[in-house]
Amino acid sequence: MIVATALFAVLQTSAPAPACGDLDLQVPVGLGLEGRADGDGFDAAAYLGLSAGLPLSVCLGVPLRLELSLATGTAGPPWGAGVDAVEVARQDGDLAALTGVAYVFVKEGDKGLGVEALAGPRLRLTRVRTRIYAQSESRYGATVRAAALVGPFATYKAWRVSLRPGASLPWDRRVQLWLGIGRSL
Amino acid sequence: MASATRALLVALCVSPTGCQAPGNVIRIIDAVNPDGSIALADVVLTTLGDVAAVEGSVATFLGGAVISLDSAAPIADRGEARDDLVENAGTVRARFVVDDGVVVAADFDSLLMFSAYAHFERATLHLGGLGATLPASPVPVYFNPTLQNGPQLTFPKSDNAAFFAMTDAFVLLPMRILQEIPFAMNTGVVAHEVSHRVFYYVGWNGGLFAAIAAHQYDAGAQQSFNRVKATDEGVADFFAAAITADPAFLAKSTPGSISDARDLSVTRVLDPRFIAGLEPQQDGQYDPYGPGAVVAAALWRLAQDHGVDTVEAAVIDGLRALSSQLVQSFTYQFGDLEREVARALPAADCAAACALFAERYLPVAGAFTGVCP
Repeated sequence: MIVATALFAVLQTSAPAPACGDLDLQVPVGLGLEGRADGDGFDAAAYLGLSAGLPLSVCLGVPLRLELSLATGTAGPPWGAGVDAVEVARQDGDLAALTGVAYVFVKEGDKGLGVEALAGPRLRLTRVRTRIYAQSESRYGATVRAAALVGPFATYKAWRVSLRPGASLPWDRRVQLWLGIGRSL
Repeated sequence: MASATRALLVALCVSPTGCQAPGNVIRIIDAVNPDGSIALADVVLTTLGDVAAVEGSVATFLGGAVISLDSAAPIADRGEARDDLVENAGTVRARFVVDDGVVVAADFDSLLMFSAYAHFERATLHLGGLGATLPASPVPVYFNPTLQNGPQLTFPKSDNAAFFAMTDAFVLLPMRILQEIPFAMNTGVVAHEVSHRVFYYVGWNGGLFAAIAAHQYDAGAQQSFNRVKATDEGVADFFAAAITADPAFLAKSTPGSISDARDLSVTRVLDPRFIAGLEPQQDGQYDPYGPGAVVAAALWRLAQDHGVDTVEAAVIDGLRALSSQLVQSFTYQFGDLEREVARALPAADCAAACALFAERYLPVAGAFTGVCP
């Protein structure tokens, strides 16, 4: 969270606002399905994030949007899954820099409705904690994939709500559905 | 935290698994000798080809399988009826991270599969080194399958591991009741199952079901088969203990009420009631583990006295020598394998082996005629 706040501060000071529109800050919450390791079905997952978005439609005349997001999530209980003697828990932290189209097709006064499609690189840092009886250890790994989100969004005054299904390439056998609530600053 | 930083830097190489492709150094649950305690350990899996699919030259893990245990279904040897009995088996996709070159399972099932593969590899290579020849193709391991019990053939739906001879494949079931070290993570349990496959291919010469078909109506066939099953269990426990150097390997996964009866370090003698091949029984069915524990304890004692490697090799030789008797006449008495083991031992060890068997198998002392004085 400290990292996210600092990131936002940097963005805010360096953003060429107001010419290119107002920076917005969103708090996305997500649900997901992650393919089971045994290949038999999917497990539920939960995610929480923070993202800063910058619409470029005003300054460039094209419906572009830049977004930097941080998210964390876990499949199954954060404390782990297994048996009494052995448990494995995993938490992911994602940092993504996305860009794409955010096209408003209905605009009435201070209300708007549009659709957006964003894509870009996503760095995922994974922490794995393994416990055997009373002993546990944590190991870390990182992967970079292309992330893609697409879905509708609505605006009302300074508020912004988005609903975004998303996935990664190469596909990591996860699909995510994000509900983002944000506000222009 | 240094590990996390390193992982972050590695990922900047923009690769699906970071700059480090998954190698064959895998972090698994292993028995750490010599005290036998369970811990995480990094092992090199020399036979693992596809890490995510948990697939290598020793075994191929498959998920989502539905296995029909129908005694009326066509059954053939060497897995030739596998496709009739197993449906929906698909590739598993283990989740893992690569940390400093080591593949670390990122969920419980993946840790189970990696650990089990390591144990399958260890047992298969070990027993192969003793001369136990198995098919060259990787054996299927059905991970968390659904078992559809038939009217005459039933098997627990959880908390077990098994070699299913009718599919020539292994089954690893989820642990729902037992909460200690899962069977798939227990080196000894996996070695026990691999030993059953060795018994099938060496003792039965891969022809168990053909032998059953040919002799099922012979007088005493069921009793002989029960005695073989008990001996098979005993041999499997012996190899499990030999590979783990732990005569109480089962205690890591089961309560004492189960494991104590199979502790190989306990002196056990053949109960005269076992000889007929109808006792002991549990829930109305023959229970091979009681007599099997006698076989295992005798072989373990022999191994302590004459060397584990020596006795392991003698057991494989003994199984091979016994094969024609099993397949052709479908007869077996307790002591038949031990007689062949004594014969296969170096001459200097034979007399001591005979003395041990005479003590442990007193009710069937005649079984050793021709080898023992």
